Amino acid sequence: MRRSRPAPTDDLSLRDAAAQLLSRAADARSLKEDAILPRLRATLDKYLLRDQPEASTQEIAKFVASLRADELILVIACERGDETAWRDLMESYRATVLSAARGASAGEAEAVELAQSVWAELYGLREREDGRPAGKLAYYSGCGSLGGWLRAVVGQLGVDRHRRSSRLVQTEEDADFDRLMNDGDHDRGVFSVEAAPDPERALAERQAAETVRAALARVIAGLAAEDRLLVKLYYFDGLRLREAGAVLGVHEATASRRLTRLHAEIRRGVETLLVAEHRWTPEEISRTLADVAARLDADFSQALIAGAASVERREERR
Amino acid sequence: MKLDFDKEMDALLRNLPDATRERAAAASLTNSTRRERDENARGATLHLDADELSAYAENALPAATRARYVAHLADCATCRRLATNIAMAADVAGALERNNAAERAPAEAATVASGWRARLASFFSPRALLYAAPVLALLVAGTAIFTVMQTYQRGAKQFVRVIPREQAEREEAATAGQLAEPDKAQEPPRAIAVSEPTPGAISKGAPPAAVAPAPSARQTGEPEKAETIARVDKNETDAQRSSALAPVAQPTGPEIVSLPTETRQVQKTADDDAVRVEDRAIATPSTATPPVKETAEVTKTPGREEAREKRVEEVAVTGGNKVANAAPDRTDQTDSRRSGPADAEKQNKRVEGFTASRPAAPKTEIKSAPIGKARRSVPPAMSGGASESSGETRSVAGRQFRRQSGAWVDTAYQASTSLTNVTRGSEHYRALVADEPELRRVAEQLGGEVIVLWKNRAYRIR
Repeated sequence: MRRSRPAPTDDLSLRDAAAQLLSRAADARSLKEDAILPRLRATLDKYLLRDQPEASTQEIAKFVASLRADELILVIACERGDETAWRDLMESYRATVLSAARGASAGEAEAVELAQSVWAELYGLREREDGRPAGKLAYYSGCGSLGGWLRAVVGQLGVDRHRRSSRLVQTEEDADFDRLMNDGDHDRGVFSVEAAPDPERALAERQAAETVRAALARVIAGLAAEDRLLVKLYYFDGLRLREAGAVLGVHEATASRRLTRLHAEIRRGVETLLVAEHRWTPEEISRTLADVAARLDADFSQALIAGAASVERREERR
Repeated sequence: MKLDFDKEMDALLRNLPDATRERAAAASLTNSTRRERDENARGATLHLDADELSAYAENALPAATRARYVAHLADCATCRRLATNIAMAADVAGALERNNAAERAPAEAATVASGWRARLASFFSPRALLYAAPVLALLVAGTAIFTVMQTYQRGAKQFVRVIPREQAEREEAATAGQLAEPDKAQEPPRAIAVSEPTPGAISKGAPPAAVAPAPSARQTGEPEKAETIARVDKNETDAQRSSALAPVAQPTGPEIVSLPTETRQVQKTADDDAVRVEDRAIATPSTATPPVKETAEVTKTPGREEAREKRVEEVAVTGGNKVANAAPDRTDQTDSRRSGPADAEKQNKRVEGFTASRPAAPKTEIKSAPIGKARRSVPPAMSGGASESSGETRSVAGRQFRRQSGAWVDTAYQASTSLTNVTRGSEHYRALVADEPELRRVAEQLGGEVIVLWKNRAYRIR
C-alpha cells in the first residue's frame, strides 16, 4: 500500500519542526531547514506515519522533539562534507566504535580492522551523483542515539563477516553444542533404548516427552509477540530478567510478573493441546509434565558431561 | 530476583532441546513472514536495519512502531542479539530502574506522610487523650518538683579564694575563736573577699572566716551548722596544687563575705599546666575591690623548681549562710576574674572554701589538658588503591595530576594537544572506560573535571 505524500500544509508544519530542531541543537553547523527537511520527512514516514498515517500536527511535533538534534545535525553536516564535523564525529565516537568492534571480534587485531571498516563504510566508498561519498550515515535518523546506531552498524558488519567465514569457523554455539550432544549420545548411549532397563517403558517415556515438547513449541509459537520475545530472551538467549526487561523496555519487576503469567498461560495451552489431540487425562498430563521436567534436567546435566568428554576425545585425536 | 513461578514449566522451558526451539522459531517465523510480506509489497529484507535496532533498543520509538519491531525480534535471533547488545551498552536497564525509583518516590513519600499523619492523629484522639492527660500532668508535676528541689539544693553558694599563706595564718588565728561558737557562724561571712561582685552578703570588719578552722559537724551536733575546715598543705614540688576559683578580695581590708557554700577540695595535678578546680565560690559584692594580690583561679602554677607550699582550706559554713555551689571552673581557660599582677607570684597560695554541712557534692575535676590536636580523619582508602595526594598533586594509576583551575590536569598534558570532551555516564564515556579500566579508575578517583592524556589522546572528563 503506497502512502500518500504529506499535504502542503504538512510541509509547513514540517518546516517549523525542522526549525525547532535546529534551534534545539547546541551547534547548528550552519545548516538550514532545507538541509534537514528530507531526512526529517524520511524519519517521520518510517517511524510515525507508517503506523499512524493520520498523526496530528501535535504528534508530529512531539515526535520531532524527541529526535536527537545535535547528533542528527552532526551526521548531516558530515554527509555534506563538513571536515570539522567529521573530525568531531571521529573524536567523539572512536572509542564507541572500537569497543563495539571488540565485542564482535575474536581479537584486538580483528577488532581494529573491523572498526576501520566501519569508518570506511560510514564515510562511503562510493560516490553519489554530486560527487560526494555515499555512506551509511544517510541511514541515521536521529531517533536513537548515534552511539547506539554505531554499535548496531558494527554489530551487523561483524555478523556479515562471520557469515562469510562461517564455512571455516563454527560460530553458532548452539549448533556446536547440539552436535556435541549428539556425539555424546552416540558415545555414551544416553538415549539408547538398549541401555534402558525396560525398553518399552523407555520408549513410551520418550514418546511422551516428545509429545510434550511438540506441544510446548506450538504454544510458544502461538504466544503474543511480546510474550514470545520475553520467553525467547529469557530462556533461549539466556538473558537475566533485568536484561530481558531492558530489551522489552520494562522494569525487571514487570518482566517477572509477565513471566509468571506466561508460565500459567503456557501450561494451560499445553494441557489443552494434550487433551484435545492426544486424549490425555489431567492426571496423565500432570504426571508426564513432572516426569519430563525432571528428566530434562537430568538429560541436560548428562549432556553437559557428555559434551565435555567428547571435546576432550577430539583434542586427544588431534 | 526470586521468582515465584511454576517450577515445572520453568524447567521445561529452560531445558528445551534445540530442535524444539527451532521448531518454535520456525512456526512463529512462518506466521510473521507471511504478515510482513503482506505489509511490505516490496518484499524488503526481513531484518531490522541499524537505525531501527538502535531506536528500538533505546525505547525511542512510538508504541505502534515498537510493536511491529517486537514481532520481528521475537522470531529473529540475529536482530534480537544485536538489540540486546545495544540495550546493554546503553544501560537501558539502569535507566528504567532510575525512572521507576523516581516515580515511586513521590508515591512512597505520600504514603509515608499519610501513614505518619494517621498515626499522629491517633495520638490525639479523645480516647487517647483521656489516658494521656493524667500521665502528662504527672510528668509535668514531677519535672517541676524536681526542678524546684534542684534549685533549692543549689541554693548554697561556695566561695573560694586564694590568699597568701601569711594572711591565711593571720586569719586563722583571728577566727579560731569564732569558729568555736557555731552560733556565730550565722553571722555575716568571714573574710573572704572577691574582686568581682557576686551574690551574697558581705560585711566588712571581720576577718575572713574561711581561714579559721571549723569544728566538725559531729562536735556541733548539728550537721547543717557544722563548720569544717580542711587544710591541705601542699608542697610546690608536690603533684597536687590548689588554686581558688574566685578572685580573692583585697587582703588588707577585712572584707567578709557571707557565702555559704560547699567546698570541694581543689587540687592541682602534677602537670604544671593542669589545674583541677572543682568548685568556685561566688562571693557577694561588698565594695569595690582593688586588685587582689592573689588570684582565686590559677590555671597554671610556676615551675616545680621552686619549692612552694600550698594550703587548701575548706570551711564548712552552717546553714543560714548563703551557699552557693561554685560551678566547676576550668581554670585552664581564661578567667575574667584573674588578676594579673598577683598571679605573678604564684607562691604560697591557699584556697579557702566554705562547705555546707551536707555531704559534699560529687567532686568534679577539671583538668586543663593541653589542647589535643584533633585527629585528622584519614580519608578512606580508595578502592583499587594506587592513589595518593600531596598538596596540589595526586598520583593515580601511575600518572601525576596537578590541581589547576579547579580541574585535575595530567602533568603529561600539553596545552597544544586537542581535547576531547567526555561526559561521565555518556555513551562515549562508557565506551571509553569499558576497555580501559585504568582510565575508569582515574575518572572515578579524581572526580570533578579531569584532563588526562591517554594513549596519545587528551580527554577532558566531566
